[in-house]
Amino acid sequence: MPDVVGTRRRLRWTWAVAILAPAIALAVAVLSLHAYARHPATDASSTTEAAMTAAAFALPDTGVPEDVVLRQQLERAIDLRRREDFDRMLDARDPGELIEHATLTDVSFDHHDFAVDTLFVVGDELFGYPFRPENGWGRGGADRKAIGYTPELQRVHQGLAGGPDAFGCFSCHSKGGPDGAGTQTQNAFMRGDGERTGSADQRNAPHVLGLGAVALVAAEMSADLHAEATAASERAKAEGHRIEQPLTAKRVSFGRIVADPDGTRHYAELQGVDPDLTIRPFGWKGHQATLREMVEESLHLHQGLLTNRIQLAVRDGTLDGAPYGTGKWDDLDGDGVSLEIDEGMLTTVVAYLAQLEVPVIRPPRDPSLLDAFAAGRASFDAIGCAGCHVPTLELNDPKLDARAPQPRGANRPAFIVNVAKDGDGPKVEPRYGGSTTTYLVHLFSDLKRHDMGDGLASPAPQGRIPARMFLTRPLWGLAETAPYLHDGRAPTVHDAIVLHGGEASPARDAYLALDESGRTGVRVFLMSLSRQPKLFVP
Amino acid sequence: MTPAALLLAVCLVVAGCKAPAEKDAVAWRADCPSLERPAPLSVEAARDAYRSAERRHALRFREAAAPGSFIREMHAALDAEQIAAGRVCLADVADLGELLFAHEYGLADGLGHGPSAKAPTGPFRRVHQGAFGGPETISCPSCHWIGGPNGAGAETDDAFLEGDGDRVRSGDGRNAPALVALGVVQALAREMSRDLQKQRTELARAAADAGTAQEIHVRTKGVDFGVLRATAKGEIDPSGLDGIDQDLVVKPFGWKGTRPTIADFASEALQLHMGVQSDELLAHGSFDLLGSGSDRTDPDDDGVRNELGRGPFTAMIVHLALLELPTIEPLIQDRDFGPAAHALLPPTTTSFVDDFQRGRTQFHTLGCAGCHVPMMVLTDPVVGVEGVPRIDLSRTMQRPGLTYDPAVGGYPVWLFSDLKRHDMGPANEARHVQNGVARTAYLTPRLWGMADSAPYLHDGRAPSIDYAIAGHDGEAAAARAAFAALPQDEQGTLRVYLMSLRRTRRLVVP
Repeated sequence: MPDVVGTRRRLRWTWAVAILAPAIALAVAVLSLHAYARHPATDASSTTEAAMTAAAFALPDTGVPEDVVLRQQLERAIDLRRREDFDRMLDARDPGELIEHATLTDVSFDHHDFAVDTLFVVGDELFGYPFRPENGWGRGGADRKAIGYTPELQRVHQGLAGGPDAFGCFSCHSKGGPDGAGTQTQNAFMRGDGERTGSADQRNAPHVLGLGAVALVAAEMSADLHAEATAASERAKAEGHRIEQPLTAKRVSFGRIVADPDGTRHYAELQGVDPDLTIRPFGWKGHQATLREMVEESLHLHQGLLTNRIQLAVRDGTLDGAPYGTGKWDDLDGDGVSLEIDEGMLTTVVAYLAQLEVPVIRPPRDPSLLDAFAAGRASFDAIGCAGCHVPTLELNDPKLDARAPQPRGANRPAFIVNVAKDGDGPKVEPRYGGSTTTYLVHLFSDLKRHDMGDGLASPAPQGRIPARMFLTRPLWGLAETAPYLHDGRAPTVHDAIVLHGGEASPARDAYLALDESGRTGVRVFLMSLSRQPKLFVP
Repeated sequence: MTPAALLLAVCLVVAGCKAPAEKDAVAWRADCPSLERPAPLSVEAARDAYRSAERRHALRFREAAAPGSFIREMHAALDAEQIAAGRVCLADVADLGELLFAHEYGLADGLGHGPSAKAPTGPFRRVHQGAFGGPETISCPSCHWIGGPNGAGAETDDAFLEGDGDRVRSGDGRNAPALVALGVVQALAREMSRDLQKQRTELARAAADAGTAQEIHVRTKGVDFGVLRATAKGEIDPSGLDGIDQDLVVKPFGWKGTRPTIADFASEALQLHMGVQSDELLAHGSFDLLGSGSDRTDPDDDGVRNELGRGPFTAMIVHLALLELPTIEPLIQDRDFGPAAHALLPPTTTSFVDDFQRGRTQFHTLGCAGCHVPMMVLTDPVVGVEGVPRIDLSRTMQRPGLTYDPAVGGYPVWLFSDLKRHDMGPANEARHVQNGVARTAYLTPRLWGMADSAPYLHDGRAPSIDYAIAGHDGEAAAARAAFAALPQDEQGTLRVYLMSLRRTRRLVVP
C-alpha cells in the first residue's frame, strides 16, 4: 500500500457550491442589469480616459468564495503540495521511490479493496510524473549506463512508433489548470518521418476533464446502436425480407443499416461511426473507445512506455509488434526495461481520470455581455452549431469499471468509479425523475464523426478514418484551451469557426451572415464554456 | 575675467550639473498605495488569486466580444510619457504588465506575419525559419508555466531556433527557463559590466601612462573573465578574455548569454515566438529579425501597425523586473506564510536536514560551485528599465525580495551562476553560432528555483537531476565524473541539496 493512503479527505460537497456559484452569479448579474437599466446615464465626459481604463482592469471582488470555502480549498491545496514536495524530495534522495509507491499492480486489485480516493491521489502523482529511461521511457539504442548518457527526445513521430516527445502526461495537459489542454507549442507531430514537421499530422492536446462521463455515454450509445442493429437482423430473419433500420443513439442519428434475412448487414449508409457500431469518443478523429485504450496508446506514442498487455499480445501473436520495436516480447523497445507499465498502473490512471471534474458554464457578469451571452446561446442553436455540438447527452449509469475488460469466464473484482459522485467536483448534473436518476453531460458534442472538408483534412487517413473526418470536438471547457482545432491552427474562436468546412459549412456561413453583434454573442457564449475556479499551489 | 564671462561660466556649470541631477530626480509619484502584498498562502492571498482569475475571465469575454480590444485598452491605459515621468504608480504598471504577459495574442493583435496570418493552415511555424523565428505560440505563459506563473517550459515547449522552418534538427532546441528575479539579475550583470569596464579604462590609462604594454586578469564579484591586455599606447587587446564578449558587457539572458537586459530579451522573444513586433524591436531590431516588408512600420507585413507600443511593452518589462527571488530551504528561508500554511515546511527543514547539509558540502567538493557560484553580492539594488524612473528593487520587488546584509556590505543574491560562458563540450554542441557565441559555449544557468523547473539543460532533454549532471561535458566533464564516482548514498545528498533550490509556494486560481 502506498503511504499516501488516507492522507486526505476529499471535499465532495464543494462541487455543490461550485455548481451553485454560477447560478447565483447569473442571478446577481441579472439583478444588476435591471439596476443598470434604471440608471444608464454614465457621465462619460466627466470621466477621464485613464480612470475608465483603470476601472476596466480593476480587480473585482465578485466571485471570491466565502471564507469557509476559501479556507477549505486553501487547506486542500496546501496539503496536495506538501505531499508532492515530500514525494519529490524522497525520489530525489532515492530515485525510484516515487514510481514504486505509485505502482499498484493488477494483482493487488484482485486482493485489495482500494478506496477511490487512494487511486485519485496515486493517479494524480502518475499524471504529473516525468518518466525517465530507468522507468522504461523511450526505446533502446544508446548505452543507458554510460556516464554521459542523456535521453533523446523525438519531437516528430516516426510513423506508428511515435516519439517519445514528452516525459509526462502533464507536459501537454496543463493549460488552464491541472489536467488541462496543450498549448500550441505542445502539439504532437504524429505519423511523421521522424524529422520534418511538415511530414506529420499535428494534434493539439485537449483537456482531459469529464472523460469518465464521456466514456460511459459513448458506451451506452454503442449499446443502443448494437441493440437496434440486432433487432433489425432478428426482424429481417423473422419477417423474411430486407429491413432498413435507421440507427439513433441518445437522439443522435447515425444513418441506417440494411439487414438481410440471412443475417447479412449492409453498412453503406452508416454515418459517423465504424461498422462495428462502437462509438469512439477519444482522439480528434474518434479512434479510441475507452479511457484505457487512450491512456495505453498515449503512453506508448509520447513516452515510449509499453504496457504488459501489449507485450503479451505481441507474444501471443494477436498484435502486430512493429510499432513497438523489434526486441523480444518482454522488451520490445529494447531499452533494457521489461516491466514498464503494469496493468494496475493503467487502472490507476483511468480511475484518476474518471474522477476528474467536469467543466461548467460561467456566464459573464458584465450586464451588457450577459445579454450577448444569452443571445449567443440562442444563436448557437439557431445557426446550426448545436446540430453537431449537441449541448447535452444524457447518461443513465454513472458507474465505470476502471479495470481491463475481463477475459471470458474470469471472475475478478471490478474497480468501480462513480463519475457522478467520486473525486473532484463539479460533477455531471443529476436529473431526478421519479424512481430513476439520470445525469446530464453538457459536453457539446454528438460523439459522431463528420466530414470537415478539404481545408481541415489530415495529410492522410488515420487507420480506417478518412482524412476529412473528425469527431465533433466536445466544446466544454473551451475558454481555457486556446488555440483551437485539431492542430491548434486557430488562435481564437472566431478563427476556429471560420475554418469549419465540409458538413459544418452551412453553420459557418450562417455565423458569418450574422451582424457584428450576432457574431459577438456567439463568441461570448463560447467563452462561458469554462472550468470551475479553484485554488492551487503550483 | 569679465563679469559676463563669469556669468557664462556659472551658467554652464549650473546647466551642466543640473541636467543630470534633474534626470536623476525623476521619481515615482509618492501618493501610491503600498506595494505590500498579502503573505503567500494566506486567506487574503487566496482572495487575490480569485480576483485575478475573475478578472481574466472577464477580460476573455471582452476580448471575444471585441477582438483586439485588450491591446487597444492597454495602449490607452499605459501612456509611455506618463510612465517615464513617474506620474503613475509602479504597482499599477506592474499589474497591467502581468496581464500583458499573460495575454493570448490573436491575428487582430498582430500575431504572426503576413503570409502566415493569411494561410488556411494557420499562422504557426513550429521550427523557426532563420533569424525571423516562428511564430509557434500565442502567449508567454505558453512556454513559461512549470512551477507556477512565469515559470519554465516543458520539453514539449522547446523552441527550435534558426532552423529551416521544417526540420527539427535544423534548429537549435531551447527550453524556456523560469523567469525569476530578472530585475535582480539585470542589476547584478550591470554592476559586473561596469566594474569590468572600469578595469579596462584603468588598464589603458596605466599602460599609456607607463608607456609599456600591460595585462591584467579582469575579475568582478569573484569571477575571473580572463586576460585583458593593453599596448604601450593604451590600445586594448581583448583576445585573452574568457566567457564574455569583447565589449565586456555581462549578458545574463538567454542560454548562451546573448542579451544584457530584460527588454532586449523580451522584445526578441515576442517577435520570435509570437510574431508580435514591439516599438522597442522596431527601433533596434535587425532586418533579419523584423522581416522584409516594404512598410517599415509593419515589417512583418501582417497589416497591423503599433503591435505593442512603448507603454504596454514597458509595463511588461516592469512586471518581469519585479519577479521574486527563489529560496533555498533552510538556508534562505521564506517563512512569511499565513497561519494556514505552517504545515508546508519544506522537506529539507524536516526529514532531510542532514542530507541537505552533506549535499551542500558535496556541491563544493565536486566542483559544481566553480561555475554555479552560489552567491553574489549586489551593491546597488536599483535596476534601470528604459522608459521608467529608477526602480529600487529592495523596496518594490515581489517577496521574497532583496535583504541587506551588513556582513557582506550589500544584498546577497543566491543565484548559483557566475554569469559567464563556458565550453560545455561536444555533447552540447549547437547547430548554429548564435550572436557570435561559439557552438559549445553556454552561460552558466542559474540553478535557483530548479526544484520547480524540470526538465533541465538548454534543450530540456534531462527529466531529472541525474540526467542534467550527465549532460555536462567540456569544462564541466570533471565535475560530472566526480559525481558519477560518488557512492549512491552521497549522490542522493547532492540531489536533496539541489531540490532545496525552489520557488516560494504561492496560490493561484488557474
